[in-house]
Amino acid sequence: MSLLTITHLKVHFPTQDGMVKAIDTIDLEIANSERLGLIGETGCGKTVLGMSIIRLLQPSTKIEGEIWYKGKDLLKLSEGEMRKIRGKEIAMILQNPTTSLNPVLKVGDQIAEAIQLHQGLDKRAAREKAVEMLESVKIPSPDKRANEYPHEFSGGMKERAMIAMGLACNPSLIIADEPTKGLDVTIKMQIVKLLKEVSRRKSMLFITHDLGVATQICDNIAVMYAGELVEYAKTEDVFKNPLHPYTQGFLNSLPNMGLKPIRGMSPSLIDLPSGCRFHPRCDHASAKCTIEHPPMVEIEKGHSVRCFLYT
Amino acid sequence: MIEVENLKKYFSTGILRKRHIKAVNGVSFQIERGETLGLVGESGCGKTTIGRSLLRLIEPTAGKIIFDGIDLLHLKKKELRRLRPRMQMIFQDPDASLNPRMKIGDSIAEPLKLQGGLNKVEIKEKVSELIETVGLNPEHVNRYPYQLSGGQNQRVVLARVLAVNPDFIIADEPTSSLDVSVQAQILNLMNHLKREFDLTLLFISHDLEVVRHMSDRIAVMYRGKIVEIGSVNEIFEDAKHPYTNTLISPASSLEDQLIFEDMKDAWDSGCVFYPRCPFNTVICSKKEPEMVEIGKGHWVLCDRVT
Amino acid sequence: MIEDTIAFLKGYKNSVIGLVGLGILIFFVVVAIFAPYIAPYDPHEMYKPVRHPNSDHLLGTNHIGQDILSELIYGTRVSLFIAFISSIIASYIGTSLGLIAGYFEKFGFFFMRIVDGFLAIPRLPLIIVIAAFMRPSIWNLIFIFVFFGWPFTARIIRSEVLSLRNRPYVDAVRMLGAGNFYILCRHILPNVIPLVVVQLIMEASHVVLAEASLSFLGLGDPTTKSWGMILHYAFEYPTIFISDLWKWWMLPAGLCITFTILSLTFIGYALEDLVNPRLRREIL
Ligand SMILES: Nc1ncnc2c1ncn2[C@@H]1O[C@H](COP(=O)(O)OP(=O)(O)O)[C@@H](O)[C@H]1O
Ligand SMILES: Nc1ncnc2c1ncn2[C@@H]1O[C@H](COP(=O)(O)OP(=O)(O)O)[C@@H](O)[C@H]1O
Ligand SMILES: [Mg+2]
Ligand SMILES: [Mg+2]
Repeated sequence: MSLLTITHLKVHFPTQDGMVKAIDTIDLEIANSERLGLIGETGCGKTVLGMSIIRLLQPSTKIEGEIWYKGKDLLKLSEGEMRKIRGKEIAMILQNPTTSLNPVLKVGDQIAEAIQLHQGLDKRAAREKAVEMLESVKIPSPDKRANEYPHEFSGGMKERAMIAMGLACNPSLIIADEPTKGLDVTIKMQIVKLLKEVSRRKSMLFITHDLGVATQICDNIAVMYAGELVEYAKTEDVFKNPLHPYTQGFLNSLPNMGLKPIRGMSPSLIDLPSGCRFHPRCDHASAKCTIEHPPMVEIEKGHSVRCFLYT
Repeated sequence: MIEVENLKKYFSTGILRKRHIKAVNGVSFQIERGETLGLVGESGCGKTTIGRSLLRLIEPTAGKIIFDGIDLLHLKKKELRRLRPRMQMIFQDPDASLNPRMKIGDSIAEPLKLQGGLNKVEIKEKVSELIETVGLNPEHVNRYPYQLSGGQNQRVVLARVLAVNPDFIIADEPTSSLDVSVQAQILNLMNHLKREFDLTLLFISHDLEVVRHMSDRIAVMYRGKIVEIGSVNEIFEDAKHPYTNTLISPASSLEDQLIFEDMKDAWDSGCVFYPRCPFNTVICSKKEPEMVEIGKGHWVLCDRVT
Repeated sequence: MIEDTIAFLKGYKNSVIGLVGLGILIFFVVVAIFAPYIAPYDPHEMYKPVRHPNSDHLLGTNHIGQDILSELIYGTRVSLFIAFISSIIASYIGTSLGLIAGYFEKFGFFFMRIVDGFLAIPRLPLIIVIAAFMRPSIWNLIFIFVFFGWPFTARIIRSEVLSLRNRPYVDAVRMLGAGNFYILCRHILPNVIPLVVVQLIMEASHVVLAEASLSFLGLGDPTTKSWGMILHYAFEYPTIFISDLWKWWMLPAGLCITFTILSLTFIGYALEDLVNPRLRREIL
């Protein structure tokens, strides 16, 4: 059964230079206990998707569509109702722990604060729970570390603290936004291992541009390009049998796959190309691709692609 | 081309209690003309510090740097300035490497103006030539850095570096802030330019896969020391140092990483890798190992191999 | 550069307080420039003393019979002249020293101790003491304001240069063979100019107040007509607060000072919003 269902979601930002169509249009489902990877290049709208699920976008943003979570449309909830869901039901582990942790508060207190907010525990109990959380993300001597400030933590430890904070209220859905960005390989692998462990029996939307990491964690992978999904498949299928030319190009540009780049660059989200959004960079583009926008079509069970090559 | 001997750079930090950070702690290597040496290691191990010391953007604490037969550390300011254009560095963050208030074209023209000898028309021609070489469009000349993507700005940086006809380029994680598909574009371009302009390269990265693609030889660095250096094949097929092995197959990565993080400041004798080494012995904690050559040009900093 | 300016003007146009401030300032500047044509009388000419406002003298006359409105109009000239000349010179000195101090570490460290010394002393009391010792004249006033004004600019510019100096693009240019002087002029100075302008405006508003205070205390140049001097003579007049006299003798000068400072402060705020890169990035 699906835990989160996104239908026809559009997120547009009005700016001086025009309407930024950050998400246009996305349909997506996350099942109970599914770990879904969201892959795409910088600026394609991954963070915006995460932020629109927990409704943390600025008020001027134009949002259309529906986001169903446990029988409720999140987009129709009041801010008060949403606050009860944020952190408790759905937790987001933000990109960039260096800026997301408050530098003047002790790490333990920051986690305790998140716990107090939702669980009605008193200060002592929340504090104890915070230490427990730090222990659960395998930070050594957690009671000592809880009394330290973020700058005393190394990059990998900060990421762990962020994960501890996200998990503090035992959410059913975790949205992790590029949690391994900027970490060294050895540390990255440990964070991946940890995330895999803590997300057991939970749903997770795992946002990343690192395919290697996604394969380790995710059951399914959704590939995003210029504000929409272009391919959706089981993790191994994305590797063994990538269908969309963008997915293929993406894989081929990895260093261990030959470093063959995709030509050109991602389009501006203000001024999207007509027809298929990938056609200016695609080697298989036909006349039809320049005019008509391809629909998402299920080719095999659980493997959909947005490309005319397969219809 | 470049010979580095026992290079050291210590930083002292702390207001109340002075502490010495041994960012680079006795590093030696050579780079032949036309060769690419890859330098890998996790962040904070001293890679950037080596690069900046080589160009004397910071003054090394000790050591010897010979560039093309010239002893760099005993050079007068004026001679150094004359020599500088022959050695260039490309930084990690392309957006920050360009003056935000200068148009792309002016940034590329700047080194040409500084060198003198060309008139306005010639400079303009040269700039368009360079822009084409790095795969940008002529209309980019009048844009500002913030109007271009990270990948495009890195191309601009490359064009500007090429303007001075350097012999030796240090590329410090030139693609680590870029997306994979853009990274592939830039790395391919760099390989192409290297051949076309006959460059010698020191390629710094924390990504072993990327380094493998770019280099002839690889030096693996850990906490201020080079722990292994050898050809790409030797490093990938026949790595001797336990740290190199961790980098190559991070899935089998060491469990005690965090314990190590806890004690790394206290650590100050014996082998740098001792606390994380799966094969460590009591001796490793006391005696500093020495570099040994185990094959031609394949050096390892580990007592276990001998 | 041209695009910079246009983008800047576009941004400024959106700032209400910026436009209000600019409007008031332009009014005063116009008055200052065209003072001889606007003022009904020569401010030194003497008529009947201590007249109430009437059709001949819209704001009456002072204790020796000079037309107060004309005094006020010429006073604009003097007050603005002192404010802008001293803040321009102070900014010039402060910027130059700030650039050097930020760029050359050793000199900077030594230099900042001096600046800190300057900044630690309360400005106005010391200005008063020094002014009392010097012969009161416009140029002496300007000297004093410059002397105490430059450290503020120097410190702000230095801290900005410290952060600019270590940008990768500065290193990159150095490797291309550029010398220190070239880097300072071409790559660092243009990036601090907006800050300098903000600082200049803020400094000007300080000087307006300081000049008024000194003149009020009788430490100004007695031969020139500044707003502060008008206040000074009015205040010394025996029955100034018992009668209605203060309403047209003191109040207009006080309002002029207030509005000038207000307009400069508004402009300063508007500019700061625009040029402070930290603030601007947060908006984006
Ligand atoms: N508040 C905003 N106003 C205008 N544009 C925005 C805003 N937030 C994000 N964007 C734009 O939306 C696009 C998607 O951004 P994001 O989701 O952060 O990308 P990423 O996939 O790298 O996480 C980008 O082009 C970005 O510039
Ligand atoms: N200017 C500096 N002052 C003090 N410490 C520094 C300075 N530059 C670098 N370091 C320290 O030196 C070590 C090596 O840094 P760096 O060479 O930048 O590593 P890498 O490039 O491999 O990530 C780090 O511990 C860093 O904190
Ligand atoms: Mg993002
Ligand atoms: Mg570095």
